[in-house]
Amino acid sequence: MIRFVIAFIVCKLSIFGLRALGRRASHTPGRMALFICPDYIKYLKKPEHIICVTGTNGKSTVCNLLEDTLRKCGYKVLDNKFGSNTANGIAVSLTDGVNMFNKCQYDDCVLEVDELSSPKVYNFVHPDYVIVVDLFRDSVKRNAHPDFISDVISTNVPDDTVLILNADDIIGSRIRVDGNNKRIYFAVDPMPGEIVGEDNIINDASYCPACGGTTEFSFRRYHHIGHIRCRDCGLTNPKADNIARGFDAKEGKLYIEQKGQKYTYPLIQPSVFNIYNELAAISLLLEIGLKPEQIAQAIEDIKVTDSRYYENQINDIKFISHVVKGQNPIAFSVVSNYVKHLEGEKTIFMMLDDNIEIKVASENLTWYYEADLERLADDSIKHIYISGYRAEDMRYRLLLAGVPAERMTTFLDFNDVTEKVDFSLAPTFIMLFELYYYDDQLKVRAAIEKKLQSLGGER
Amino acid sequence: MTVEILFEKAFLFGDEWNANYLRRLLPDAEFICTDLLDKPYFAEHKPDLIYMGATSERNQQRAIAALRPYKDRLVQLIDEGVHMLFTGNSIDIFGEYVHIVEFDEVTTNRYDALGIFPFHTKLEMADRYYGSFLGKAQGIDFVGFKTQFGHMYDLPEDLSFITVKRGVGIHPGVSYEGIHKNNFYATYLIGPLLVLNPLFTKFLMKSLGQSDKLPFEDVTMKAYRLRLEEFKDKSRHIG
Repeated sequence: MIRFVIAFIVCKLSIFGLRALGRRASHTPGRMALFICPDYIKYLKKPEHIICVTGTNGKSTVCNLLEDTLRKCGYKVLDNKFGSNTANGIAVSLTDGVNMFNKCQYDDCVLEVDELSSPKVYNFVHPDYVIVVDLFRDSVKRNAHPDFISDVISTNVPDDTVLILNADDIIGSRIRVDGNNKRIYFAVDPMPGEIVGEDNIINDASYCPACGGTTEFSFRRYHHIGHIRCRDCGLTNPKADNIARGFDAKEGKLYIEQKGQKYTYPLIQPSVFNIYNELAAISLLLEIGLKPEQIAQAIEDIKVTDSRYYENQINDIKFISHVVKGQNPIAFSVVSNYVKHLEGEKTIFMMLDDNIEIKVASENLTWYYEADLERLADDSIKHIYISGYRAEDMRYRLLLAGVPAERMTTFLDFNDVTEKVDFSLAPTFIMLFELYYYDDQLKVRAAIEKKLQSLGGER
Repeated sequence: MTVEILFEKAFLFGDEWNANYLRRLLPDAEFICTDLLDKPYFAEHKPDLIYMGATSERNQQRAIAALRPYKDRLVQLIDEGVHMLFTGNSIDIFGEYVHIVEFDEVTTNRYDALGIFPFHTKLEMADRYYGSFLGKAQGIDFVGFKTQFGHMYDLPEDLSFITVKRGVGIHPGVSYEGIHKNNFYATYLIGPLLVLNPLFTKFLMKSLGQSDKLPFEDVTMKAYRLRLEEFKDKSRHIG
């Protein structure tokens, strides 16, 4: 206990000190606390209900939706927005949630949990609910593969935790499949106008996760997401409790069937990725006892705060800025697919180096060869401008993907973009930036917008 | 020209593109894709090249089970000089056994591998190794990446493939990497190896008696040289 007290004082003081210096204190105080007292998180007083959100993609969006909705419904909610989603960050957030006498000041706690932090978090936090949004391949550097991640989560989630799982994800839906946990599944039906059936390099469910047999899809949304069946043991997707049956993008409505009843919710964003995210959040909110009407009313005004997407019409050019989550092949594939299917002709500018790794090492390129960059060979993409240290590697990957050589330009410094780009080539200009370039891209974005304004309507 | 790709649907870490690249390099070759439940083509035929890439640990065990009945045939083909390339953790298949320390760091398990080469692998599921690698073999600089739960032990140096310049060899503290015997090449490197190492790919193509002209060769050579500079730069972290 003495170790905890020392760790607690160190953590509180360092949070205070770092923030006084204008730093976020997102994980360092937690790292110190866990170093002093490895089971530090266990001794921190916690809110009554603990909800953890994990999975490869969509964690932040689901957390934001849950936090906003619960707050609108009158709950005091602790979150880890200012802590990182690792054990260190969660230690900071939970320390933030208690006063100097370790007394918790919140009703509920919504924690975004990095998949690999499962052992350090679940054993000490003991969540009431865990949402697994999906399990995909992630960065080779951060992660190994879904088979391994699935085992890590399954091994560490407690037996009495309620699981909220994606039924369309044959890997993620099998978390603790042999456990006694209550399981709530959500699924998204094929949507009107949805483009499916395009090939993906990655399919991590080629072999049955139960018996190793060969699987086949009756409906493939992307990668291993869809309706799958094992030819050998007959394993198929679990039956969903909450199913998105359709949406009306114009009216902003999402239609969800729950226990045979149909309900209408506000549609937060019409992309299928965000429909999964919204459905995951709604499934949890229903499970903790909120009424569909109450949830619908609470999420009416919620907007997904999208620092990852920005759009601005400047004269006759539509300028879009879109994040590509670093070294994550699924995210890159999804963005490439989005760019391909975006209406009209476009040019692309890439600033995709790993801003941290490039300064100290040579960036891993594996993700270039796992992402579906063949989508960028589409004729609607008039030119691709590639910046950074890895520009020649990206040029090579795109050549192999079928992008003609004359449609590509490479240069080292992304600040040169305004001199290099021919904005007259297409009415839409898309900037794809790596997550860690967020602050840099704001400056680049401003320079591009200034340039576009100075061009007037010359295109 | 016949190329057999073993268990392609199980590949990880971009090794899918080693197979795709071979298809680009050898457009006239016949490619035979052997699945985990199929009888390998090499069991009754003599392909010119056999390739297998990195897989999950579960699929590695399945691959060992699938290949076990054909161990003697593999030995025969290696001795006869058939070209083979195994990347990522597919190298472990050729050792004597794989010892696993599970993620809880308490449970252990052990299963026999094919026993074709004298080494064993120790997998530590709670201690994944990730790093970059620079090495030299056949006068060629190799660059690549490693992501693996295990390292191999006891492999005699005279069977090794690459001399380590920077990074980790078959296990930490050892200055050699991979296995090379006749035309059999195996390495833990991912990347994908063939795309990231154009000089080795040219060497392999020549060795197969094929044209060593690479697709968009000037571009890949430029990218390789830039990468090589970074890997050689001592101020940059590696390993």
